[in-house]
Amino acid sequence: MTRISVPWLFALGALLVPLAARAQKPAPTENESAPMESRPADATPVVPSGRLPDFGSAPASSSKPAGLDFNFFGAEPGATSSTDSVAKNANVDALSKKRRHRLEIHQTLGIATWVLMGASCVVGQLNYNDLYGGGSGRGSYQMPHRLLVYPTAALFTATGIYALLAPTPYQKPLRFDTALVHRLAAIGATAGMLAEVALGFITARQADAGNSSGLKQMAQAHQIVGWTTFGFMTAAGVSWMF
Amino acid sequence: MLKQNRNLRVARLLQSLLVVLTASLSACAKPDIATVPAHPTFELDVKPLLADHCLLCHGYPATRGAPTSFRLDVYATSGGVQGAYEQGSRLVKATLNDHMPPAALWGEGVGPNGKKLLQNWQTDGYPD
Repeated sequence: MTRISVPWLFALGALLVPLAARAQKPAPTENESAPMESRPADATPVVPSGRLPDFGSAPASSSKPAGLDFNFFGAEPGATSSTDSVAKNANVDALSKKRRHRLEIHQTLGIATWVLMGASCVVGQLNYNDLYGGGSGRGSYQMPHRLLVYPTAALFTATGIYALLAPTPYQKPLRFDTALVHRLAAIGATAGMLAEVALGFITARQADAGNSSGLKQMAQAHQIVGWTTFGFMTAAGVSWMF
Repeated sequence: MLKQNRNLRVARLLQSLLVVLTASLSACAKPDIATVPAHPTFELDVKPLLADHCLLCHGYPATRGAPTSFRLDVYATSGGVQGAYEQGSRLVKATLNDHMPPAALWGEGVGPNGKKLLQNWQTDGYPD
């Protein structure tokens, strides 16, 4: 909350106040003034659809009509105790709670994905050794590997979706920190996962078709990309420990 | 606006996943044979076809869970293990029904000409 810039809060609040008024549900907060509660909902200016909201209009609690009263320098800290700032603070709080909830699920799914991916890599390595590394060639690890990789891919996708769907209530400047390391590692893991799915499908289909040409090289690439992806996943998880 | 951007990103991610999956399901099998001999023999015609589609698993030793009771890289029984001649009927039936190779289920089997070759081989009595 301390990093939220005041102009951003003001703009966000100006955007959200008409929506809140339209829903006739003013956000209940401790600082909410009594006149706001007693005033009819239609007294709040509602921005017609298709038109820009009046960013320069006076606060809703004021009787001053909206006009050319622009504030080019942003609201002063002392002047943000009006209804719109209360509403926008409540909205930021709500979005922050939603973000935290989704990222907690993202974290749980991520840890589960990491465990499953590790198991997939180990069993996949055993499968590779069995089929191409001078093993028995019986294919004893084929089915266990397949049973592990499908839920791994599903969990990975769900983890990514939860991260992408987490709301962003405030902007954060781009800088080198654990969050950036986590994102870069996650992007690497996503690229690796896409390559893994493609390589795995092609290798399995080619083997099922009985075509042995280049099969070992495909399996080798699948193996290398798999361990690299697991490394990215590990980096993404470890980055939050610092 | 932010929500729309997030939904767009998720949609793009799912779209790229679908593209990757579709691309990976392209043809992985060897191409079908060009011409079908009227009277094929095992050594000249059938064995090369089996090498392209079957011997990865049904060679010697059998791999990837294939049964060890027969092998398709030889014509006759050797060392107590049946060859292609003894398994001819079963081999042709599984191929024509798209049970083998496993990818035949997805249209990546021996192909129409390969099936016709095996049918001709069966009609002639599985010649060596």
